[in-house]
Amino acid sequence: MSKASTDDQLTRYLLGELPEGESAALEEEYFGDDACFERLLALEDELIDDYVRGALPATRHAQLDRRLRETGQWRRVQFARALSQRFGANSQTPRTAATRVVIPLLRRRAEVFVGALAAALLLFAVAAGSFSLRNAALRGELARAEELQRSLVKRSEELQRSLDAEQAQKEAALRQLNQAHAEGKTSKPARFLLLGTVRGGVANRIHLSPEVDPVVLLAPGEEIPYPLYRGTLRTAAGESMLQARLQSSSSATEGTTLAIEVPSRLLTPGQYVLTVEGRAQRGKWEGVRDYPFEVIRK
Amino acid sequence: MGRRNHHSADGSAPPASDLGPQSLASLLEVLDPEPAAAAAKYESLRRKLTKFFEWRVGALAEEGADETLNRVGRKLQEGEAIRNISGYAYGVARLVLLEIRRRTEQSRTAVASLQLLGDDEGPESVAPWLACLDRCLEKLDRNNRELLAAYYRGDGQERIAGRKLIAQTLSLSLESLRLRAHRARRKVEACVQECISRRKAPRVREARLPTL
Repeated sequence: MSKASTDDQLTRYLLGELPEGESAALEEEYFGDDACFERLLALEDELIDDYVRGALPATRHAQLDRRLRETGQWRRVQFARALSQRFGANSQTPRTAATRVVIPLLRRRAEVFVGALAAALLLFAVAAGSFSLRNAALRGELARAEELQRSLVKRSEELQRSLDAEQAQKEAALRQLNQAHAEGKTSKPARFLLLGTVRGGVANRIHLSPEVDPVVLLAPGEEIPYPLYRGTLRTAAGESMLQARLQSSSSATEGTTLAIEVPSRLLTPGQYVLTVEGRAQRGKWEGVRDYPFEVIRK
Repeated sequence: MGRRNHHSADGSAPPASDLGPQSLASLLEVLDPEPAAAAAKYESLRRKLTKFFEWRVGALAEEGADETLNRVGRKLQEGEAIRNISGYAYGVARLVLLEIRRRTEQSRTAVASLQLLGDDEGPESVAPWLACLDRCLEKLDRNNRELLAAYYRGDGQERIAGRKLIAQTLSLSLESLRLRAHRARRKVEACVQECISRRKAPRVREARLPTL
């Protein structure tokens, strides 16, 4: 449906009077466009209102009547009836807010005066109702602004609390660090480049002193074409100890390497294997190479 | 078309009665990665489908919408890549529509019974609806309440003139005013329908009590 579609065309669709081709084009549009769909729903409301008020031509009334029965929408008709009785021309109950004062006054005067004077009063009454609507809209905007201000104050308080908590965490971490320094518990990371499998047994030996933590194991990476890698650390008996994504980096001395960080405490003296696997973006993990090594504690 | 005996329009997928958890998850994921937004888009799509069937074939609108969503969900679960989910759903809905029409032709008695249901509900008194409407209007925010009162005031020329003036005063086109009134009306209508359902429920239970 283009913007050029008239209310009449949309109404004909709602009543099943539009040719198949035009109906299909309209449907394609409203399935992709919420605004178009909402326009149809609003027109359907008005169609049901006209049906209830008996304002539809006989053929259309009969068509809609059949459709409403088939779709079990009698409840929508009842609602439209109630709405019409409450606000429509024959409303016998008190009107809400803006109309409560204006319309009855207008009606009484309209009975006394005739023709143009009545019409002018009617327009005046509607204008008063409209101004009341505008006032209500402004009141609504003011309320929303106040609500926004309240939410900003609340958000500011939350941020302050969050900052306080973060500050407290930093202070605690600083205290722990100071305490560790005081107790002489300094640690330093160490990097070990592993060589691939070689004939004749373990080629890599890692000598760890107590202050080393963590241990960064590096595998050569320049010949490996995958975008993603992971490493699995196992004991010589095959028991899996740790699995993590490998980080790729390059340096002049080590070339391109894949790194995995291992807490020093995991590496008790003994023999281990670091298994490197690679994966294409949406593929499966594939084995690349095993790197056996031995840990020797000083 | 019943909900327990579906047959695929293209003949490729096995019949399934409901959207399974995996299919639903696939559908929601395609609609939006964010769960709340996905749920809202699912509801919006289902509403469009329901209205499509309602406007096109009348009866069995809900069933048609559910069957369409089932099939779309199954296709996604089978790994079909769907870029435009609304357009795809519309295509499937047209196939389901053809099936419904065939089936409706075959069993006119079912439609006749549906029409009887409609006839039964027709003469109901409007009084409880007015009571519910008043209650729901009280719950509605003041802006929308006043808008509805002004929008639906009067009849014929009085109503038309009133709407033009409201639109001018609010600096809206008549089309935008209509949409705003429609949104307010939807809120009230949902509230009134719920209110009526609550009122009716005890009567149904009483009617089913055995008589001594």
